[in-house]
Amino acid sequence: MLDRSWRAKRLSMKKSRIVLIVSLILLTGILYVYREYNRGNKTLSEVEPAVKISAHELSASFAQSDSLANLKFLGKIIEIEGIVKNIEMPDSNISVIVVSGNNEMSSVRCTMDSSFNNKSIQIDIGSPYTIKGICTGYNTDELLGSDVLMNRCVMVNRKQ
Amino acid sequence: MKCVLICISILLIANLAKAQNKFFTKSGKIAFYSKAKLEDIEAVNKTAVAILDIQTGEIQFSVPMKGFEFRKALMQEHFNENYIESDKYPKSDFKGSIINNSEIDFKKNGTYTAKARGKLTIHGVTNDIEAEGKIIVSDAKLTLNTVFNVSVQEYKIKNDKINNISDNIKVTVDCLLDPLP
Repeated sequence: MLDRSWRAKRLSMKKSRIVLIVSLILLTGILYVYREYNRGNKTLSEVEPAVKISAHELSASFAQSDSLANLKFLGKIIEIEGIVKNIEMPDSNISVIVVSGNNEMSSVRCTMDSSFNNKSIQIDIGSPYTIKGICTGYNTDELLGSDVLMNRCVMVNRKQ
Repeated sequence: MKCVLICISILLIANLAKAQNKFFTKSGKIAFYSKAKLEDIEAVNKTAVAILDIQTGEIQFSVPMKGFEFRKALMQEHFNENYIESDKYPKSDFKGSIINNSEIDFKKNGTYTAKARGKLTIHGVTNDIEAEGKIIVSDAKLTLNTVFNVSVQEYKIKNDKINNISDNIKVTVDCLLDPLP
């Protein structure tokens, strides 16, 4: 009799332990899905680049074969270094740093992320800089020249 | 020698005249909105290239698909990988013309209604499209504004069973064009 009630007690303890473990797993799963679903785009400042390359080399690769360069660079975090030739502010919340490419008509256009503030960061046109961003595409046109596009860019540092 | 110089000058002048009729941007804004079962989908691209020839009314847009930015990273990944397949089809473009170009006085400041017709390529599929919008002429700069709908089915974009997006995607174009130097 005593043995039976002890067994029943043990069984119910086992059951509640299983329920607890299953609920914990479920809760972790729900939390993971919720966090993953609501995950924002994080700043690239702390993310390691997949490729480090000069702006000259990057635009030369696209000029040579944009389909091959797309395979290599498209959608990847890239750190480029090159001479800044212009800064454009087409809108109050868009800043584009234009870096010289492999010839007069080619550039790497770095659209800076929203944390970039042109007033607090002094950029000297004609000086070398290192910029990190995601490669989003390539445009080439007889009149407009060739541009490699980078988005969500952050300044890495000024090359010494 | 003289003849060569004259030929070169004519070519240069012709090219210059060709460029002066053109307006462009490399930072055009294209946004889209879609109603969906789970959550509405919105994204904006600030890197569209647009070029308009005011003489002929020819107009072109080129939009890098990886340049669309979403509020949520997962949505952006799904858009690129599952819906638009941007590794395979990195660009969308529109090539067409403004059919009522002669009615627009590009030398006089004002807001004009513009009707564009042409071919829109998204996800590797090209369809004829017609849209109405506005061209605002302001001190030798042009603002192009238009809103039109794109059908997911017509561009062979597969729909998600869970977050079933509506077939009609609302596309908003807002571009400020400068004269080509």
